[in-house]
Amino acid sequence: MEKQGEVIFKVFRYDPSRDREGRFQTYKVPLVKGLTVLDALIYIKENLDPTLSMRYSCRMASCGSCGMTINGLPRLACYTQVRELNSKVVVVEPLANFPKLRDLATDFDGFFAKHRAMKPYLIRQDREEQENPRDQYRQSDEELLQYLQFAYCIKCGLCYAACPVAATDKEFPGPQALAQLYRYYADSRDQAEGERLEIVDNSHGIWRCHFAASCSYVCPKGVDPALAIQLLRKALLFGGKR
Amino acid sequence: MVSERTLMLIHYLTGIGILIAGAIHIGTVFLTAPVEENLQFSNSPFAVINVYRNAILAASLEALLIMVAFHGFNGLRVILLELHQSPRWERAVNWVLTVIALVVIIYGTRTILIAHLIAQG
Repeated sequence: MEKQGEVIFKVFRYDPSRDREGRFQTYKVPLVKGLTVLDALIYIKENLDPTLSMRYSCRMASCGSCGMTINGLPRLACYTQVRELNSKVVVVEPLANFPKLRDLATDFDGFFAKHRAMKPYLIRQDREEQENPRDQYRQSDEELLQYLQFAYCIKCGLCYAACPVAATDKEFPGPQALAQLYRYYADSRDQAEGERLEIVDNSHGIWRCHFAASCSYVCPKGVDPALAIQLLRKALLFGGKR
Repeated sequence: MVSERTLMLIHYLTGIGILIAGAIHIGTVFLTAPVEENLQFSNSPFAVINVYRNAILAASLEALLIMVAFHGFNGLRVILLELHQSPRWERAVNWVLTVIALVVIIYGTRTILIAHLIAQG
């Protein structure tokens, strides 16, 4: 691959066993066509500093593992070309609003707990049917479109990192969880709409969203959590299923 | 205990109400007479008290007082709940702000009533 100069990477480093606070370390990475931020970090780990920690897996924006703050915005490292940043210096930090584990790796336990609290599965009123479904549930194209875009969520946490409310209110479920709640609420096969709305109708629930819409801005999959939150509010205020 | 849904519904409605009241006020000041004349009217305390003679106007000011107090203190409650999270803090914020809002409404109502009675002569 033809080298086209160098890019400076300022990478956040933090070792909880040694550091009280994080620091930045600078690396020079050869710029080649198509270089992604994840490629550059892997280059650093393989050639310059094997102690660098980060989380990644699929390298194709499907698994949602490599979310990090790149030049100030939450992005997927595998989905961000260095050239598109249009900057000679690339600053890479862990996702905001998540506890830091080490270097660029953050703790997703709380995030996933909030996701689980939304009961992200179909609920049927018949308990027997819930445990042992007898048949497939049919759904029209129109019914599918009611929630399809919200089903594209890969739980990468970028929306949560961008949310100004999640930054201050630790009990706020966050845009990802709320969008997933709407995804199941709007699913015609689900029969627990009232139960779902009750989960978020409280003092740290859906009403705390300020509609900054930064969640929708940073989503790499085109999901619009801000829309889901407004639709849930509409359902809570005016009733009516879907 | 009032649900969060109800509180926020009232919050939105009072917000719209305050906006409408503000629009009517600005419309009145700018459209009913030359602005200088209306400002002179506002500078005269007797003229202002005279506004309270009309029971409907006095009642609308009372409604505005309640709307502003609710909307303002509920907004403050939301800010405080976002700054810190614990059941004790939440209870304290709810109680303290409810009491302050009630005091403001009662004091304002007293003022409106006195002005109304004075204007009635």
